[in-house]
Amino acid sequence: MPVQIRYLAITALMLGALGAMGADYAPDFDPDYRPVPSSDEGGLWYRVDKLEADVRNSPHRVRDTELNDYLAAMVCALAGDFCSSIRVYLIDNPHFNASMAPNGMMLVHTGLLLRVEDEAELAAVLGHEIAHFLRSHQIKQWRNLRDSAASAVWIDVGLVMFTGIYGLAQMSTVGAALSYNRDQEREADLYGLQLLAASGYDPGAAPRLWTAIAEERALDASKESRNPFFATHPTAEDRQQTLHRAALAYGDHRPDGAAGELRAMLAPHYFAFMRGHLQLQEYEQTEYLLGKHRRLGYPEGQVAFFTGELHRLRKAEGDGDKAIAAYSRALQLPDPPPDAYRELAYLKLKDNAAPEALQLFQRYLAAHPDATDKAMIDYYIESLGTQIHE
Amino acid sequence: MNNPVAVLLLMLLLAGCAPHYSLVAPGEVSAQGLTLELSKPWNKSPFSPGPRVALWTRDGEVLNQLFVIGDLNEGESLFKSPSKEVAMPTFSADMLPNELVDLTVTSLKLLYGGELTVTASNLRPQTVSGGMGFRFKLAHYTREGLYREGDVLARADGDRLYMVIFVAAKTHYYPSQLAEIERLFETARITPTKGKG
Repeated sequence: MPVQIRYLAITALMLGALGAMGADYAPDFDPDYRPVPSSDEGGLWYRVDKLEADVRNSPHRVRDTELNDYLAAMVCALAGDFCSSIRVYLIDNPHFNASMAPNGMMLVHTGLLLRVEDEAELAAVLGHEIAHFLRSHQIKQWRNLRDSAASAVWIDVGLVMFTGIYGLAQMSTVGAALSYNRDQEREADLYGLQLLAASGYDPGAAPRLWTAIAEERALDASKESRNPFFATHPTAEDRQQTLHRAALAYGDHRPDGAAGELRAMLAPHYFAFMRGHLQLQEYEQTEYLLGKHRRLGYPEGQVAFFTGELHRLRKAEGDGDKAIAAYSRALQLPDPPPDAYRELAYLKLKDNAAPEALQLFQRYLAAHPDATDKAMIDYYIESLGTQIHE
Repeated sequence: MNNPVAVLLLMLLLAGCAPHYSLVAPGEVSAQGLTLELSKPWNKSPFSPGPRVALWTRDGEVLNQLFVIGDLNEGESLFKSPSKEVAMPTFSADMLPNELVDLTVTSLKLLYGGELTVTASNLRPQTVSGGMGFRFKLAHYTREGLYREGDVLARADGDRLYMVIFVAAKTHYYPSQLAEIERLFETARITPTKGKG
Protein backbone atom coordinates (compact mmCIF):
# COMPACT_ATOMS: atom_id res chain seq x y z
CA MET A 1 0.00 0.00 0.00
CA PRO A 2 1.57 3.38 -0.95
CA VAL A 3 2.48 5.57 2.04
CA GLN A 4 -0.12 8.28 1.22
CA ILE A 5 -2.99 5.80 0.90
CA ARG A 6 -1.89 3.95 4.06
CA TYR A 7 -1.78 7.27 5.95
CA LEU A 8 -5.27 8.20 4.74
CA ALA A 9 -6.64 4.76 5.58
CA ILE A 10 -5.19 4.79 9.11
CA THR A 11 -6.45 8.35 9.72
CA ALA A 12 -9.90 7.44 8.44
CA LEU A 13 -10.03 4.38 10.70
CA MET A 14 -8.88 6.37 13.74
CA LEU A 15 -11.37 9.17 13.15
CA GLY A 16 -14.11 6.66 12.43
CA ALA A 17 -13.38 4.94 15.72
CA LEU A 18 -13.41 8.33 17.48
CA GLY A 19 -16.86 9.03 16.05
CA ALA A 20 -18.12 5.59 16.97
CA MET A 21 -17.00 6.16 20.55
CA GLY A 22 -19.13 9.32 20.57
CA ALA A 23 -16.32 11.88 20.85
CA ASP A 24 -17.80 14.88 22.57
CA TYR A 25 -16.51 18.14 21.14
CA ALA A 26 -17.02 21.40 23.02
CA PRO A 27 -16.58 25.04 22.02
CA ASP A 28 -13.29 26.76 22.82
CA PHE A 29 -14.99 29.86 24.23
CA ASP A 30 -18.22 31.17 25.81
CA PRO A 31 -21.12 32.68 23.86
CA ASP A 32 -20.66 36.38 22.95
CA TYR A 33 -16.88 36.04 23.38
CA ARG A 34 -14.71 38.77 21.88
CA PRO A 35 -10.90 38.60 22.04
CA VAL A 36 -8.87 41.35 23.70
CA PRO A 37 -8.16 43.92 20.93
CA SER A 38 -4.42 43.99 21.70
CA SER A 39 -4.04 40.20 21.25
CA ASP A 40 -3.13 38.41 18.01
CA GLU A 41 -6.68 37.04 17.85
CA GLY A 42 -8.08 40.55 18.46
CA GLY A 43 -6.04 41.79 15.50
CA LEU A 44 -7.35 38.99 13.28
CA TRP A 45 -10.96 39.74 14.28
CA TYR A 46 -10.42 43.45 13.63
CA ARG A 47 -9.35 42.74 10.05
CA VAL A 48 -12.21 40.31 9.45
CA ASP A 49 -14.74 42.75 10.95
CA LYS A 50 -13.66 45.24 8.25
CA LEU A 51 -14.05 42.55 5.60
CA GLU A 52 -17.53 41.75 6.93
CA ALA A 53 -18.55 45.40 6.53
CA ASP A 54 -17.73 45.02 2.80
CA VAL A 55 -19.62 41.72 2.57
CA ARG A 56 -22.66 43.26 4.31
CA ASN A 57 -22.88 45.92 1.59
CA SER A 58 -21.81 43.68 -1.29
CA PRO A 59 -24.01 43.57 -4.40
CA HIS A 60 -23.08 39.88 -4.70
CA ARG A 61 -25.29 39.06 -1.71
CA VAL A 62 -28.67 37.44 -2.33
CA ARG A 63 -30.87 39.68 -0.21
CA ASP A 64 -34.17 37.80 -0.30
CA THR A 65 -35.44 38.11 3.29
CA GLU A 66 -37.23 34.77 3.44
CA LEU A 67 -34.24 32.79 2.22
CA ASN A 68 -31.83 34.62 4.53
CA ASP A 69 -34.13 34.15 7.53
CA TYR A 70 -34.41 30.46 6.69
CA LEU A 71 -30.61 30.03 6.70
CA ALA A 72 -30.24 32.10 9.87
CA ALA A 73 -32.85 29.96 11.66
CA MET A 74 -31.01 26.79 10.65
CA VAL A 75 -27.71 28.18 11.91
CA CYS A 76 -29.37 29.14 15.20
CA ALA A 77 -30.81 25.66 15.63
CA LEU A 78 -27.37 24.12 15.04
CA ALA A 79 -25.30 26.65 17.02
CA GLY A 80 -27.59 26.75 20.07
CA ASP A 81 -26.19 29.22 22.63
CA PHE A 82 -23.85 30.63 19.97
CA CYS A 83 -26.72 31.72 17.70
CA SER A 84 -26.14 35.42 18.25
CA SER A 85 -22.38 35.03 17.59
CA ILE A 86 -22.87 33.96 13.93
CA ARG A 87 -24.13 35.97 10.93
CA VAL A 88 -24.91 34.19 7.63
CA TYR A 89 -24.52 35.88 4.22
CA LEU A 90 -25.79 34.18 1.07
CA ILE A 91 -23.50 34.92 -1.87
CA ASP A 92 -24.52 34.67 -5.54
CA ASN A 93 -21.79 32.26 -6.66
CA PRO A 94 -22.55 28.98 -8.49
CA HIS A 95 -19.53 27.11 -7.09
CA PHE A 96 -20.04 24.57 -4.28
CA ASN A 97 -18.73 26.34 -1.20
CA ALA A 98 -19.37 27.73 2.27
CA SER A 99 -16.85 29.33 4.62
CA MET A 100 -16.51 30.62 8.14
CA ALA A 101 -14.53 33.61 9.35
CA PRO A 102 -13.00 33.70 12.87
CA ASN A 103 -15.36 36.51 13.99
CA GLY A 104 -18.56 34.55 13.26
CA MET A 105 -19.18 35.64 9.65
CA MET A 106 -20.45 32.70 7.60
CA LEU A 107 -20.61 32.82 3.79
CA VAL A 108 -22.87 30.39 1.92
CA HIS A 109 -22.69 30.13 -1.88
CA THR A 110 -25.82 29.64 -3.95
CA GLY A 111 -23.95 26.72 -5.58
CA LEU A 112 -24.27 24.85 -2.27
CA LEU A 113 -28.07 25.26 -2.29
CA LEU A 114 -28.22 23.81 -5.81
CA ARG A 115 -26.44 20.65 -4.63
CA VAL A 116 -28.02 19.68 -1.30
CA GLU A 117 -30.93 17.26 -1.57
CA ASP A 118 -32.64 18.25 1.66
CA GLU A 119 -32.40 20.40 4.75
CA ALA A 120 -30.36 17.78 6.59
CA GLU A 121 -27.59 17.91 3.94
CA LEU A 122 -27.56 21.70 4.11
CA ALA A 123 -27.39 21.47 7.91
CA ALA A 124 -24.39 19.12 7.55
CA VAL A 125 -22.41 21.86 5.77
CA LEU A 126 -23.61 24.63 8.08
CA GLY A 127 -22.70 22.46 11.10
CA HIS A 128 -19.22 21.87 9.67
CA GLU A 129 -18.68 25.63 9.30
CA ILE A 130 -20.03 26.35 12.81
CA ALA A 131 -17.59 23.73 14.14
CA HIS A 132 -14.65 25.63 12.58
CA PHE A 133 -15.83 28.73 14.46
CA LEU A 134 -16.45 27.02 17.81
CA ARG A 135 -13.01 25.38 17.73
CA SER A 136 -11.23 28.66 16.81
CA HIS A 137 -9.59 26.93 13.85
CA GLN A 138 -8.36 30.01 12.01
CA ILE A 139 -6.42 31.56 14.88
CA LYS A 140 -4.97 28.15 15.81
CA GLN A 141 -3.86 27.71 12.23
CA TRP A 142 -2.29 31.17 12.14
CA ARG A 143 -0.40 30.51 15.39
CA ASN A 144 0.73 27.09 14.14
CA LEU A 145 2.05 28.65 10.95
CA ARG A 146 3.83 31.44 12.84
CA ASP A 147 5.46 29.05 15.34
CA SER A 148 6.50 26.45 12.76
CA ALA A 149 7.93 29.16 10.48
CA ALA A 150 9.93 30.62 13.38
CA SER A 151 11.29 27.17 14.35
CA ALA A 152 12.13 26.41 10.74
CA VAL A 153 14.29 29.55 10.49
CA TRP A 154 16.39 28.32 13.44
CA ILE A 155 16.63 24.79 12.04
CA ASP A 156 17.70 26.20 8.66
CA VAL A 157 20.46 28.23 10.32
CA GLY A 158 21.83 24.91 11.65
CA LEU A 159 21.24 22.95 8.45
CA VAL A 160 22.99 25.48 6.22
CA MET A 161 26.27 24.79 8.08
CA PHE A 162 26.14 21.11 7.09
CA THR A 163 24.39 21.16 3.73
CA GLY A 164 25.16 24.61 2.37
CA ILE A 165 21.48 24.89 1.45
CA TYR A 166 19.24 27.35 3.25
CA GLY A 167 15.44 26.91 3.34
CA LEU A 168 14.95 23.12 3.56
CA ALA A 169 13.16 23.26 6.92
CA GLN A 170 11.02 26.24 5.88
CA MET A 171 9.97 24.39 2.74
CA SER A 172 8.83 21.44 4.85
CA THR A 173 6.54 23.73 6.89
CA VAL A 174 4.31 24.17 3.83
CA GLY A 175 3.36 20.51 3.83
CA ALA A 176 2.99 20.52 7.62
CA ALA A 177 0.67 23.54 7.51
CA LEU A 178 -1.53 21.95 4.86
CA SER A 179 -1.63 18.71 6.83
CA TYR A 180 -2.68 20.74 9.91
CA ASN A 181 -5.44 22.28 7.78
CA ARG A 182 -6.69 18.84 6.74
CA ASP A 183 -6.76 17.73 10.39
CA GLN A 184 -8.92 20.74 11.23
CA GLU A 185 -11.26 19.89 8.38
CA ARG A 186 -11.67 16.37 9.75
CA GLU A 187 -12.35 17.73 13.23
CA ALA A 188 -14.94 20.14 11.79
CA ASP A 189 -16.57 17.24 9.94
CA LEU A 190 -16.93 15.22 13.15
CA TYR A 191 -17.94 18.15 15.36
CA GLY A 192 -20.41 19.20 12.65
CA LEU A 193 -21.88 15.70 12.75
CA GLN A 194 -22.34 16.06 16.51
CA LEU A 195 -24.19 19.38 16.01
CA LEU A 196 -26.31 17.81 13.27
CA ALA A 197 -27.39 14.94 15.52
CA ALA A 198 -27.99 17.24 18.50
CA SER A 199 -30.37 19.33 16.33
CA GLY A 200 -32.44 16.29 15.38
CA TYR A 201 -31.18 15.91 11.81
CA ASP A 202 -30.11 12.59 10.37
CA PRO A 203 -26.29 12.41 10.68
CA GLY A 204 -26.32 10.11 7.65
CA ALA A 205 -27.00 13.24 5.57
CA ALA A 206 -23.32 14.27 5.85
CA PRO A 207 -21.80 11.17 4.18
CA ARG A 208 -24.70 11.17 1.65
CA LEU A 209 -23.80 14.72 0.58
CA TRP A 210 -20.12 13.85 0.17
CA THR A 211 -20.99 10.74 -1.83
CA ALA A 212 -22.94 12.96 -4.22
CA ILE A 213 -20.14 15.55 -4.37
CA ALA A 214 -17.59 12.82 -5.11
CA GLU A 215 -19.85 11.46 -7.88
CA GLU A 216 -20.33 14.91 -9.37
CA ARG A 217 -16.61 15.73 -9.28
CA ALA A 218 -15.67 12.38 -10.77
CA LEU A 219 -17.49 13.50 -13.90
CA ASP A 220 -15.04 16.39 -14.29
CA ALA A 221 -11.55 14.93 -13.96
CA SER A 222 -9.80 18.30 -13.89
CA LYS A 223 -11.17 19.49 -10.55
CA GLU A 224 -9.68 17.07 -8.05
CA SER A 225 -6.62 15.69 -9.79
CA ARG A 226 -4.10 16.91 -7.28
CA ASN A 227 -1.22 15.96 -5.02
CA PRO A 228 -2.57 15.10 -1.52
CA PHE A 229 0.55 16.78 -0.03
CA PHE A 230 -0.65 20.17 -1.25
CA ALA A 231 -4.36 19.73 -0.55
CA THR A 232 -6.01 21.99 2.05
CA HIS A 233 -9.05 19.70 2.42
CA PRO A 234 -9.44 15.92 2.54
CA THR A 235 -10.85 14.53 -0.71
CA ALA A 236 -14.61 14.13 -1.08
CA GLU A 237 -14.15 10.33 -0.96
CA ASP A 238 -12.07 10.54 2.22
CA ARG A 239 -14.68 12.74 3.90
CA GLN A 240 -17.50 10.45 2.83
CA GLN A 241 -15.78 7.41 4.35
CA THR A 242 -14.89 9.16 7.62
CA LEU A 243 -18.37 10.61 8.03
CA HIS A 244 -20.09 7.36 7.14
CA ARG A 245 -18.27 5.49 9.91
CA ALA A 246 -18.87 8.27 12.43
CA ALA A 247 -22.56 8.71 11.49
CA LEU A 248 -23.32 5.04 12.19
CA ALA A 249 -22.78 5.73 15.90
CA TYR A 250 -25.65 8.23 15.98
CA GLY A 251 -28.44 6.35 14.20
CA ASP A 252 -31.27 8.03 12.27
CA HIS A 253 -32.90 11.03 13.93
CA ARG A 254 -35.04 12.45 11.13
CA PRO A 255 -34.94 10.22 8.08
CA ASP A 256 -37.08 12.46 5.86
CA GLY A 257 -34.38 15.18 5.83
CA ALA A 258 -36.99 17.93 5.26
CA ALA A 259 -36.54 17.99 1.47
CA GLY A 260 -39.92 19.67 0.98
CA GLU A 261 -39.04 22.67 3.15
CA LEU A 262 -35.80 23.30 1.28
CA ARG A 263 -37.42 22.88 -2.15
CA ALA A 264 -40.22 25.31 -1.29
CA MET A 265 -37.69 27.87 -0.13
CA LEU A 266 -35.42 27.48 -3.15
CA ALA A 267 -38.01 27.14 -5.94
CA PRO A 268 -38.58 30.92 -6.44
CA HIS A 269 -34.81 31.39 -6.93
CA TYR A 270 -34.10 28.24 -8.89
CA PHE A 271 -34.08 29.91 -12.32
CA ALA A 272 -31.58 32.63 -11.35
CA PHE A 273 -29.25 30.28 -9.47
CA MET A 274 -29.22 27.67 -12.26
CA ARG A 275 -28.60 30.26 -14.97
CA GLY A 276 -25.42 31.28 -13.14
CA HIS A 277 -24.36 27.63 -12.95
CA LEU A 278 -24.89 27.04 -16.69
CA GLN A 279 -22.44 29.86 -17.47
CA LEU A 280 -19.63 27.92 -15.76
CA GLN A 281 -19.66 25.48 -18.70
CA GLU A 282 -19.31 22.52 -16.32
CA TYR A 283 -21.72 20.56 -18.48
CA GLU A 284 -21.18 17.08 -17.06
CA GLN A 285 -21.74 18.43 -13.55
CA THR A 286 -24.78 20.39 -14.75
CA GLU A 287 -26.25 17.20 -16.21
CA TYR A 288 -25.72 15.46 -12.87
CA LEU A 289 -27.39 18.33 -10.99
CA LEU A 290 -30.36 18.47 -13.37
CA GLY A 291 -30.93 14.73 -12.83
CA LYS A 292 -30.98 15.38 -9.11
CA HIS A 293 -33.33 18.39 -9.46
CA ARG A 294 -35.72 16.37 -11.64
CA ARG A 295 -35.85 13.66 -8.97
CA LEU A 296 -36.32 16.19 -6.16
CA GLY A 297 -39.26 17.86 -7.89
CA TYR A 298 -37.89 21.32 -8.70
CA PRO A 299 -40.13 23.30 -11.14
CA GLU A 300 -40.43 20.84 -14.00
CA GLY A 301 -40.66 23.37 -16.79
CA GLN A 302 -37.49 25.09 -15.61
CA VAL A 303 -35.55 21.83 -15.20
CA ALA A 304 -36.56 20.85 -18.76
CA PHE A 305 -35.57 24.34 -20.03
CA PHE A 306 -32.11 24.10 -18.44
CA THR A 307 -31.71 20.62 -19.90
CA GLY A 308 -32.31 22.28 -23.28
CA GLU A 309 -29.79 24.99 -22.41
CA LEU A 310 -27.19 22.37 -21.41
CA HIS A 311 -27.47 20.58 -24.76
CA ARG A 312 -27.65 23.79 -26.81
CA LEU A 313 -24.51 25.19 -25.20
CA ARG A 314 -22.50 21.95 -25.02
CA LYS A 315 -22.80 21.20 -28.75
CA ALA A 316 -21.62 17.58 -28.46
CA GLU A 317 -22.82 15.07 -31.02
CA GLY A 318 -26.60 14.71 -30.87
CA ASP A 319 -26.97 17.70 -28.55
CA GLY A 320 -28.94 19.72 -31.13
CA ASP A 321 -31.76 17.17 -31.23
CA LYS A 322 -31.66 16.72 -27.45
CA ALA A 323 -31.95 20.49 -26.97
CA ILE A 324 -35.00 20.66 -29.28
CA ALA A 325 -36.62 17.74 -27.41
CA ALA A 326 -35.96 19.31 -24.00
CA TYR A 327 -37.28 22.78 -24.96
CA SER A 328 -40.34 21.16 -26.57
CA ARG A 329 -40.96 19.22 -23.39
CA ALA A 330 -40.55 22.38 -21.27
CA LEU A 331 -43.25 24.07 -23.37
CA GLN A 332 -45.68 21.21 -22.62
CA LEU A 333 -45.23 21.65 -18.86
CA PRO A 334 -46.89 24.23 -16.59
CA ASP A 335 -45.21 27.68 -16.40
CA PRO A 336 -42.34 27.19 -18.86
CA PRO A 337 -39.81 30.04 -18.97
CA PRO A 338 -40.64 32.26 -22.01
CA ASP A 339 -37.00 31.90 -23.05
CA ALA A 340 -37.82 28.29 -24.05
CA TYR A 341 -39.92 29.64 -26.99
CA ARG A 342 -37.07 31.89 -28.12
CA GLU A 343 -34.26 29.33 -27.87
CA LEU A 344 -36.35 26.72 -29.66
CA ALA A 345 -37.17 29.31 -32.35
CA TYR A 346 -33.44 29.99 -32.94
CA LEU A 347 -32.78 26.23 -33.23
CA LYS A 348 -35.65 25.86 -35.74
CA LEU A 349 -34.17 28.81 -37.64
CA LYS A 350 -30.88 26.92 -37.90
CA ASP A 351 -32.78 23.87 -39.15
CA ASN A 352 -34.41 26.05 -41.85
CA ALA A 353 -37.83 25.32 -40.36
CA ALA A 354 -39.07 28.86 -41.08
CA PRO A 355 -42.82 28.49 -40.28
CA GLU A 356 -42.09 26.84 -36.90
CA ALA A 357 -39.42 29.41 -36.07
CA LEU A 358 -41.79 32.27 -36.94
CA GLN A 359 -44.57 30.87 -34.77
CA LEU A 360 -42.22 30.30 -31.82
CA PHE A 361 -40.78 33.85 -32.04
CA GLN A 362 -44.35 35.19 -32.03
CA ARG A 363 -45.27 33.06 -29.02
CA TYR A 364 -42.13 34.27 -27.23
CA LEU A 365 -43.17 37.90 -27.59
CA ALA A 366 -46.75 37.04 -26.55
CA ALA A 367 -45.45 35.31 -23.41
CA HIS A 368 -42.89 38.04 -22.71
CA PRO A 369 -44.20 41.35 -24.11
CA ASP A 370 -41.54 43.37 -22.23
CA ALA A 371 -38.63 41.36 -23.66
CA THR A 372 -35.61 43.63 -24.07
CA ASP A 373 -34.60 41.78 -27.25
CA LYS A 374 -37.95 42.61 -28.92
CA ALA A 375 -36.22 44.53 -31.74
CA MET A 376 -34.11 41.47 -32.64
CA ILE A 377 -37.13 39.15 -32.53
CA ASP A 378 -39.19 41.60 -34.62
CA TYR A 379 -36.41 41.57 -37.20
CA TYR A 380 -36.63 37.76 -37.46
CA ILE A 381 -40.46 37.77 -37.47
CA GLU A 382 -40.45 40.24 -40.35
CA SER A 383 -37.74 38.50 -42.39
CA LEU A 384 -39.24 35.01 -41.80
CA GLY A 385 -42.69 36.34 -42.75
CA THR A 386 -41.29 37.70 -46.00
CA GLN A 387 -39.39 34.46 -46.68
CA ILE A 388 -42.51 32.31 -46.14
CA HIS A 389 -44.71 34.46 -48.41
CA GLU A 390 -42.22 34.60 -51.28
CA MET B 1 27.21 52.85 -6.65
CA ASN B 2 28.96 56.18 -7.02
CA ASN B 3 28.77 56.67 -10.78
CA PRO B 4 25.63 58.78 -11.56
CA VAL B 5 25.74 57.80 -15.26
CA ALA B 6 25.67 54.12 -14.35
CA VAL B 7 22.72 54.74 -11.97
CA LEU B 8 20.85 56.55 -14.77
CA LEU B 9 21.58 53.76 -17.26
CA LEU B 10 20.41 51.14 -14.75
CA MET B 11 17.17 53.06 -14.14
CA LEU B 12 16.54 53.35 -17.88
CA LEU B 13 17.22 49.65 -18.30
CA LEU B 14 14.76 48.74 -15.54
CA ALA B 15 12.14 51.17 -16.90
CA GLY B 16 12.54 49.58 -20.34
CA CYS B 17 11.67 46.17 -18.90
CA ALA B 18 8.41 47.32 -17.32
CA PRO B 19 5.27 46.75 -19.40
CA HIS B 20 3.74 50.05 -20.34
CA TYR B 21 0.59 51.50 -21.89
CA SER B 22 0.97 53.06 -25.34
CA LEU B 23 -1.04 55.97 -26.71
CA VAL B 24 -3.77 55.32 -29.28
CA ALA B 25 -4.12 58.75 -30.89
CA PRO B 26 -7.46 60.15 -32.18
CA GLY B 27 -8.28 59.68 -35.85
CA GLU B 28 -8.70 56.57 -37.97
CA VAL B 29 -7.16 53.57 -36.23
CA SER B 30 -6.87 49.97 -37.43
CA ALA B 31 -6.84 47.19 -34.89
CA GLN B 32 -7.61 43.47 -35.16
CA GLY B 33 -9.13 43.81 -38.62
CA LEU B 34 -11.42 46.69 -37.63
CA THR B 35 -10.99 50.35 -38.57
CA LEU B 36 -12.36 52.73 -35.95
CA GLU B 37 -12.73 56.51 -35.95
CA LEU B 38 -11.61 57.80 -32.58
CA SER B 39 -12.60 61.28 -31.44
CA LYS B 40 -10.43 61.10 -28.31
CA PRO B 41 -7.21 59.28 -27.36
CA TRP B 42 -7.12 55.88 -25.65
CA ASN B 43 -4.34 53.91 -23.98
CA LYS B 44 -3.48 50.44 -25.24
CA SER B 45 -2.98 47.98 -22.38
CA PRO B 46 0.17 45.82 -22.40
CA PHE B 47 -1.96 43.03 -20.88
CA SER B 48 -4.05 41.73 -23.76
CA PRO B 49 -6.51 39.03 -22.68
CA GLY B 50 -6.18 37.20 -26.01
CA PRO B 51 -4.25 37.05 -29.30
CA ARG B 52 -7.19 38.53 -31.24
CA VAL B 53 -7.89 41.29 -28.70
CA ALA B 54 -6.62 44.85 -28.35
CA LEU B 55 -7.56 46.18 -24.91
CA TRP B 56 -7.78 49.95 -24.52
CA THR B 57 -8.67 52.17 -21.57
CA ARG B 58 -9.13 55.90 -21.05
CA ASP B 59 -8.96 56.30 -17.27
CA GLY B 60 -7.79 52.89 -16.03
CA GLU B 61 -9.11 49.39 -16.65
CA VAL B 62 -11.46 49.34 -13.68
CA LEU B 63 -13.15 52.54 -14.85
CA ASN B 64 -13.41 51.90 -18.58
CA GLN B 65 -12.32 49.25 -21.06
CA LEU B 66 -12.67 48.89 -24.80
CA PHE B 67 -12.00 45.39 -26.16
CA VAL B 68 -11.43 45.43 -29.93
CA ILE B 69 -11.73 41.84 -31.16
CA GLY B 70 -11.40 40.81 -34.78
CA ASP B 71 -10.19 38.31 -37.34
CA LEU B 72 -11.39 35.65 -34.89
CA ASN B 73 -11.56 32.32 -36.67
CA GLU B 74 -13.79 29.33 -36.07
CA GLY B 75 -12.71 27.36 -33.03
CA GLU B 76 -10.99 30.35 -31.40
CA SER B 77 -12.04 31.88 -28.07
CA LEU B 78 -12.49 35.59 -27.38
CA PHE B 79 -10.10 35.49 -24.43
CA LYS B 80 -7.32 33.24 -23.16
CA SER B 81 -8.50 31.07 -20.29
CA PRO B 82 -7.27 32.30 -16.89
CA SER B 83 -6.97 28.67 -15.73
CA LYS B 84 -6.00 25.38 -17.35
CA GLU B 85 -9.07 23.86 -15.66
CA VAL B 86 -11.44 26.27 -17.43
CA ALA B 87 -12.14 25.92 -21.15
CA MET B 88 -13.30 29.13 -22.81
CA PRO B 89 -16.23 28.88 -25.25
CA THR B 90 -15.25 29.17 -28.90
CA PHE B 91 -16.67 30.90 -31.96
CA SER B 92 -18.29 29.07 -34.85
CA ALA B 93 -19.44 30.70 -38.08
CA ASP B 94 -23.02 29.40 -37.84
CA MET B 95 -23.69 31.14 -34.52
CA LEU B 96 -26.87 33.17 -34.35
CA PRO B 97 -27.13 36.39 -32.27
CA ASN B 98 -28.38 34.55 -29.15
CA GLU B 99 -25.33 32.28 -29.29
CA LEU B 100 -22.93 35.18 -29.74
CA VAL B 101 -24.50 36.87 -26.69
CA ASP B 102 -23.90 33.63 -24.72
CA LEU B 103 -20.33 33.49 -26.06
CA THR B 104 -19.65 37.05 -24.87
CA VAL B 105 -21.32 36.76 -21.46
CA THR B 106 -19.74 33.39 -20.63
CA SER B 107 -16.30 34.52 -21.83
CA LEU B 108 -16.42 37.62 -19.61
CA LYS B 109 -17.71 35.62 -16.64
CA LEU B 110 -14.94 33.02 -16.98
CA LEU B 111 -12.32 35.74 -17.53
CA TYR B 112 -13.15 36.83 -13.96
CA GLY B 113 -12.98 33.32 -12.45
CA GLY B 114 -16.69 32.49 -12.84
CA GLU B 115 -17.54 34.63 -9.81
CA LEU B 116 -19.37 37.50 -11.50
CA THR B 117 -22.93 37.51 -12.72
CA VAL B 118 -22.81 39.14 -16.15
CA THR B 119 -26.18 39.99 -17.70
CA ALA B 120 -27.03 40.90 -21.30
CA SER B 121 -30.09 42.80 -22.54
CA ASN B 122 -31.44 44.94 -25.38
CA LEU B 123 -30.26 42.70 -28.20
CA ARG B 124 -31.11 44.48 -31.45
CA PRO B 125 -30.02 44.54 -35.11
CA GLN B 126 -27.36 47.03 -36.18
CA THR B 127 -25.72 47.58 -39.52
CA VAL B 128 -21.96 47.02 -39.21
CA SER B 129 -19.71 47.91 -42.11
CA GLY B 130 -22.64 47.72 -44.52
CA GLY B 131 -23.77 44.26 -43.38
CA MET B 132 -26.10 42.67 -40.85
CA GLY B 133 -24.74 42.83 -37.36
CA PHE B 134 -26.23 43.45 -33.94
CA ARG B 135 -25.56 45.00 -30.59
CA PHE B 136 -26.58 44.52 -26.97
CA LYS B 137 -26.01 45.89 -23.48
CA LEU B 138 -23.99 44.35 -20.65
CA ALA B 139 -24.01 44.85 -16.90
CA HIS B 140 -22.09 43.36 -13.99
CA TYR B 141 -20.64 44.17 -10.61
CA THR B 142 -16.89 43.81 -10.18
CA ARG B 143 -15.61 41.54 -7.43
CA GLU B 144 -15.17 44.64 -5.26
CA GLY B 145 -18.76 45.77 -5.87
CA LEU B 146 -18.36 48.46 -8.56
CA TYR B 147 -21.33 48.45 -10.96
CA ARG B 148 -20.31 48.56 -14.62
CA GLU B 149 -22.41 48.79 -17.76
CA GLY B 150 -21.40 48.18 -21.31
CA ASP B 151 -22.33 47.92 -24.97
CA VAL B 152 -21.28 45.29 -27.46
CA LEU B 153 -21.21 45.58 -31.25
CA ALA B 154 -20.78 42.35 -33.21
CA ARG B 155 -20.83 40.97 -36.71
CA ALA B 156 -19.88 37.60 -38.07
CA ASP B 157 -18.39 38.24 -41.52
CA GLY B 158 -17.82 35.05 -43.43
CA ASP B 159 -15.98 32.72 -41.09
CA ARG B 160 -14.64 35.48 -38.87
CA LEU B 161 -16.03 37.36 -35.89
CA TYR B 162 -15.59 41.10 -35.29
CA MET B 163 -16.62 42.62 -31.99
CA VAL B 164 -16.18 45.79 -29.92
CA ILE B 165 -16.96 45.57 -26.21
CA PHE B 166 -17.18 48.76 -24.17
CA VAL B 167 -17.51 48.42 -20.37
CA ALA B 168 -17.31 51.28 -17.88
CA ALA B 169 -18.26 52.23 -14.33
CA LYS B 170 -21.93 53.21 -14.31
CA THR B 171 -21.15 56.26 -12.19
CA HIS B 172 -19.87 59.05 -14.47
CA TYR B 173 -17.67 57.02 -16.85
CA TYR B 174 -20.34 55.05 -18.77
CA PRO B 175 -22.75 57.95 -19.40
CA SER B 176 -19.98 60.46 -20.14
CA GLN B 177 -18.48 58.23 -22.88
CA LEU B 178 -21.68 56.88 -24.37
CA ALA B 179 -22.05 59.44 -27.20
CA GLU B 180 -18.44 58.80 -28.24
CA ILE B 181 -19.04 55.02 -28.21
CA GLU B 182 -22.25 55.38 -30.25
CA ARG B 183 -20.29 57.20 -32.94
CA LEU B 184 -17.48 54.65 -32.78
CA PHE B 185 -20.01 51.81 -33.27
CA GLU B 186 -21.66 53.60 -36.22
CA THR B 187 -18.38 54.18 -38.04
CA ALA B 188 -16.68 50.81 -37.35
CA ARG B 189 -15.55 49.15 -40.58
CA ILE B 190 -14.29 45.64 -41.16
CA THR B 191 -10.87 45.70 -42.83
CA PRO B 192 -9.53 42.16 -42.40
CA THR B 193 -5.85 41.82 -41.63
CA LYS B 194 -4.00 39.92 -44.34
CA GLY B 195 -2.21 36.76 -43.40
CA LYS B 196 -4.18 36.17 -40.22
CA GLY B 197 -5.57 32.80 -39.30
